[in-house]
Amino acid sequence: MVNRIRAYIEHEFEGIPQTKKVLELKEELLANLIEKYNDYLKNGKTEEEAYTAVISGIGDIYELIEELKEPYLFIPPNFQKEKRKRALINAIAIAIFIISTVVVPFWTINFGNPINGVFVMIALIAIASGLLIYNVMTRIKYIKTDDSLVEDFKAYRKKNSRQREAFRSFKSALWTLTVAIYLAVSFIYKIWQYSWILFIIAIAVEEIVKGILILRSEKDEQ
Amino acid sequence: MTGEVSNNIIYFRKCGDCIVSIASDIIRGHTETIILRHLLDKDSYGYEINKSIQEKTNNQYELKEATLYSAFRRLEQAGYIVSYWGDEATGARRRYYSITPAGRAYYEKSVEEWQNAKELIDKLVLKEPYDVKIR
Repeated sequence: MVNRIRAYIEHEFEGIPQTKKVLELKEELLANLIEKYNDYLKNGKTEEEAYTAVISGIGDIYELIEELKEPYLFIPPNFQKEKRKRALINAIAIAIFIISTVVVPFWTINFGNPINGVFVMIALIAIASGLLIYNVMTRIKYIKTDDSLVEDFKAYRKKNSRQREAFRSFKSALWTLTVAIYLAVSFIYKIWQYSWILFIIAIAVEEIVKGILILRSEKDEQ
Repeated sequence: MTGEVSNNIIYFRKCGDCIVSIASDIIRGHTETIILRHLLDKDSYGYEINKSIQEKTNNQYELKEATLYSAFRRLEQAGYIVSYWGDEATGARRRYYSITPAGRAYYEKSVEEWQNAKELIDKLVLKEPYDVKIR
């Protein structure tokens, strides 16, 4: 009979997302109904009578279920301002990238010595890359609208894609820098026969950073 | 409901359904206050509260589970009660509710409102200051 009550409750709650709140309500309802049922038995009712009395005493829980479906939305305040700030940072970073390409010829024309120009170019690239990575990393996470497995999964996927984007930013920065350093070092010290090894080193750095990120994300999940 | 006047005291004859159907709307409107009243003395859970309502009204009235749980949610959302899971020795675990200071304040206000409403309606509806007794 207790199982019949449980089955009835399950049936009533069919078709709505089994969020934490819903599961807790079901558990509370079941515990109370079972105790009520046992009290009816103690008072002399038959199993059938007790079951009918318990079920008919539930009333209309449709409204209750409707209320449960309502998620609470949390929109981060200053959403628009936030967006504009990030757009600005991105734009500045791209501008710096473009400017960095004209630094060397410009420097050579005005100051003669291209070496410092190359250093300035590298510095500019580093600044711009840093800005981009900062922008990606400080993005607001996906806000959970409900305590449910579905929302958890979406948040997990969003977090993962954030990480991947951050890593992509880092990769592009790494390779741009590597090329710049390779050219600079090779021109300045004329060691074209050895400087290619920079690329091998860059590959290693990329893999190391990837490994660190994976380990960090595993630690986060624990 | 039938009534008869005798010596300025109105007797209402109990007819089982009658009092239940007329009073039930009023009672349901005060479900929250009733729950808060019950929680004033000690924490409690759904069925225990419903059982005490049955006993206090001499088995004439009981709340539907749906009404009870809707009230619990409203009270909890308003911050008048908090809930926690108890660990029982046997059986399924129960969800206990506890009244908050805000809840106590709201209870006092609700009782006052009910007293005012009762006085007002008495003035509007009763012919003379009668004592109303239910036999």
